[in-house]
Amino acid sequence: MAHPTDSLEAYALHLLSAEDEREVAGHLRTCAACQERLRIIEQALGQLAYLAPPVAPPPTAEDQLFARIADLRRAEQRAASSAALAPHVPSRVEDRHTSAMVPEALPPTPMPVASARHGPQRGTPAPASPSGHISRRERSQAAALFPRPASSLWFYALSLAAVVLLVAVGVLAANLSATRSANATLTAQVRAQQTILTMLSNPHTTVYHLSPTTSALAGATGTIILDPTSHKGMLLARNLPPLPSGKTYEFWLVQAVPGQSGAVTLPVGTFDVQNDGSGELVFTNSVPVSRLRNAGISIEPTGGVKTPDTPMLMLMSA
Amino acid sequence: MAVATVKPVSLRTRGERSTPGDSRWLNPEPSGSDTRASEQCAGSPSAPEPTDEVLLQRIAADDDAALRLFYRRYAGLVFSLARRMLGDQGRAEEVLQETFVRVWRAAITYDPARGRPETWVTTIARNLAISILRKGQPPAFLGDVLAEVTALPDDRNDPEEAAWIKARRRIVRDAIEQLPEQQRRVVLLAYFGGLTQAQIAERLGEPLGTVKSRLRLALRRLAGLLQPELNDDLRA
Repeated sequence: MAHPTDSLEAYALHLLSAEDEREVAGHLRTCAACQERLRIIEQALGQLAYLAPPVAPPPTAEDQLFARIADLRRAEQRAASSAALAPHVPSRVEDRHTSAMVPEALPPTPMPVASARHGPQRGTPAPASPSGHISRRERSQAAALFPRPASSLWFYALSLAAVVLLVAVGVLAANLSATRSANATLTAQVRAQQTILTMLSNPHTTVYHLSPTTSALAGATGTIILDPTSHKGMLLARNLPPLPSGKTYEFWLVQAVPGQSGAVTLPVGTFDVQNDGSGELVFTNSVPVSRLRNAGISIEPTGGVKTPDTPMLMLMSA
Repeated sequence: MAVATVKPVSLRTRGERSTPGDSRWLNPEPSGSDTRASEQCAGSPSAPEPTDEVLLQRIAADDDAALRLFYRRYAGLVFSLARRMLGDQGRAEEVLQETFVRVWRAAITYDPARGRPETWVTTIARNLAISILRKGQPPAFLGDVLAEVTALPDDRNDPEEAAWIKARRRIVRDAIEQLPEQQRRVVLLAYFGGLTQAQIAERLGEPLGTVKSRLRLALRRLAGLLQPELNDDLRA
């Protein structure tokens, strides 16, 4: 496409329609010149924050932040130790969606734009600190093979990546005659995991939580990650009971209808859970965050249905 | 504050510019010296104030002292932005906390090539505030954003605010004042109101095309006006 120079300002402000935003994002993946234009616009926009009338935050806010972070760390440690006992395996459904999203949907992480003004060190990956302490990135990589606490989303994504890698490596060893196709699978799966990591690294990415609507599912949790730039989304469900054959979980997004008070419930995909109650679903999301009203999980016949026939068992937390 | 307990980190500072850093927004340092002056040599052995980029590397390595320093630099800016956008103390506090939780989680993904830490953190905060705005009722409090923003409070009323923040605000205000009023209004409604271009057109009673082109021109002009500042060391 032609350079979307007239749309970059509105794109930076999140003011474009979903369709236009997708188009511009697609162009940005491969156009270094537009990436640089966008960066300049974003830098100017970022400074507008200084125009907000200054208000000092409450003095208690700092302690509250650190208390919450301490809680999050503890929760992750618990999750990591239970995951170490029962490593979860990506669900069958995810493979299906993974293969569907591989071809064009896996942009390389946008390459930083080299600029003589800023010298060669711009955009080089952060080297390990010479003082010898291990960065969280390095620890996370280690954690992927031997689960250890990290940020929970990172933990999920990286442990998922590790399991996929191990599965793919197993395929390679077991079937040497199919090395070539296994290799392709490995590459595709690794690239899929990179998509998830890219998604999580986008500051525009939003995260929502699902809670059970019935006490029968007490303890079940759902986390939805939506990346508005790549239009990828991921659902991570935990502690859901495995279903009898003939039944499947189906995931729904509820979208407001522009100009009307109503909303429409869109089927996103079906997924099964492992024996440990975990299930994942990677999907392409066309619902802009501004129109997302809710999300839910129901139990439907295998294969899923177009409109929900049964009550939502989990809904977005208030 | 446990600055001294932090062990020396990589001095991999990016020499082209340094970033504003001052922990005195909330807690004025007992020392009367201007920390900005010492900060500008953040690569020297005596430098007490690491750059934002260095802090983010340390946060990525799970260094709470670094997160605390980073919080003290930017909590005021983030909170003021959220308070302005949401018009509500409680929700602004939620955005403040969530912003820094995300900084903690995502510091590892921060890429200096894609923007300054300051831009990164205000973008996170603004997106959080927008998602609150768009989930709920439209902000009735918006009122005349323009009047409020251009009539900035006298800096002398906020003695605890760091000098670099005041300096930066003056620069941004000077830049925005150079825009024609209609452009200024559109850009401020878009940035602080989180309104879509169609909503802005409706609010101002102007054609959508006019709003779009004003916004484009305004941001282009602002980028030109503010860009040189990005490479200046304000503390020099």
